[in-house]
Amino acid sequence: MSAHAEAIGRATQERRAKDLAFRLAMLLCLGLAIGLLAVLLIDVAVDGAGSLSWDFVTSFTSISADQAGIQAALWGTIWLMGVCAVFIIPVGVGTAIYLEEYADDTKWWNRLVEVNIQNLAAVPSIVYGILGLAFLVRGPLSLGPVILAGGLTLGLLVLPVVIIAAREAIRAVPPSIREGSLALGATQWQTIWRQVLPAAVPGIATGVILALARAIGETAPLIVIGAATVVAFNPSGVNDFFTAMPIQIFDWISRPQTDTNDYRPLAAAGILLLMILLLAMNSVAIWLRNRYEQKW
Amino acid sequence: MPDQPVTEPQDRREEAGLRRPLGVRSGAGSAAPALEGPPRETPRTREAVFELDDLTVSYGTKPAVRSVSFGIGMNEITALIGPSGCGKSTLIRCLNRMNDLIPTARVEGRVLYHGQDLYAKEVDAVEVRKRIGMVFQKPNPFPKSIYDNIAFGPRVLGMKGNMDEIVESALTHAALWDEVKDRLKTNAFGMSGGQQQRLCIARCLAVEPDVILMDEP
Repeated sequence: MSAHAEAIGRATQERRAKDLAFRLAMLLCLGLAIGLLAVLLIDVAVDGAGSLSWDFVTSFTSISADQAGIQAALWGTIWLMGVCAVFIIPVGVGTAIYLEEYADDTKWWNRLVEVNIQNLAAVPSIVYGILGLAFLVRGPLSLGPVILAGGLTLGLLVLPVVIIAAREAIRAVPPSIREGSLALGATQWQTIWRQVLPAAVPGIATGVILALARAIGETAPLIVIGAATVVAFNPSGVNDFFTAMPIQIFDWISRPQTDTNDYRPLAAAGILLLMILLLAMNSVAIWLRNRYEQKW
Repeated sequence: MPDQPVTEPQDRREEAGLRRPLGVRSGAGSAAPALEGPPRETPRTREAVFELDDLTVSYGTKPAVRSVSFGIGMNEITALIGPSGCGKSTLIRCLNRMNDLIPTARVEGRVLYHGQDLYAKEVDAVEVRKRIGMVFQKPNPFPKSIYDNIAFGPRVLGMKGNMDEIVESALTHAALWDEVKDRLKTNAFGMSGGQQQRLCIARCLAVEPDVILMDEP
């Protein structure tokens, strides 16, 4: 064996060891993140699986833990998401279209709007609750703590997420498509409405679903606007009082627990149900992205 | 729509041997004279469609086309020839105001279309592009079916007539009909590059423009 071969062998070994060390370190990070989540999930599942039944889904909350269910909160959440979606889709997509297709980037006010949208996405959710309380529940609109106010508050909260996702989807449509359309004599609006938006729909839909998935778990803004905690009826319109799943869970956990009347398994079951909903929404988002995403 | 005789699409292809190559010499950048030439007086009996008068186009401060003047006659096939990057595309894009889409592009001089300055204030770029169609260097089919690719133009322009016939006629003129007549509803992205480009030509023919600009199609 020559000296060269030895040198090569030594260097390779050293570098391999380093390579392996980093690989293990990264794996550890992954394990930590996934592991903690798994512990949480397993803990919730063990506590809540016993209470998660069809009766749980179809019963209203009660003073007796073994008769209580989550129906009112489930329907409240569904209504909230409906109002939220109706609000964020047109407003979010419209904003994204303006910023991507019409706004002149060289103008300072457009850049200001862009920076602010990025910032708004990071504002704590409770601040949106205060905004909702001041402007929707009381103040100028005085809607009261009803579904409409809750849905709009959540909508304001996730609107930046939708705008950013929609902008990315619109930007991903290549300029050559716009040129091709305009060169045929289409107006800018026809180009946007018939070419750009259809091509961007999968990305926009994915963004909307992920935004709703964030909204569904929000508790703080709903508590601030004064959503009820004990509701024994399903909402029948946007002007009804409501409760939502995270609030119901919070309420159950914060009640005094006794051995005979223990709400904690109910709270765990509520968390499980919420997780199942979230998982379903995210699955739809991933499916949409894979199925309809346009490769250019 | 056409207020003067329009070159039949078939004729265009048959004459694609570039009957009247226009020797526009040029160089890129500011060092070399970019597309520069004296006003070219071609002996011509036909009416002029385009007349370029001292046309200069710059991106930012860099001129891409400088002081170009020449005319293009009706029912003629005119070709611009020059090395890569000399401003052919820039020039051709001035003729249907596609350069409007590039924020930094600035057009000086005049482009007359049947005597009307295309860059006059009252001229609507959409109306210009309706009459002056364009096929781009790279095929850019819409992510839709072959049929919808053709039908898009007539639809947005609100053209009357049987859409199936318009589509068939456009595809036939672009020598594509026989290849795709059995798969009109399939996505245009599944076609070969050459087929895609012929689709773009057919798409352009479907709106019956008075002039077709082709950027190395």
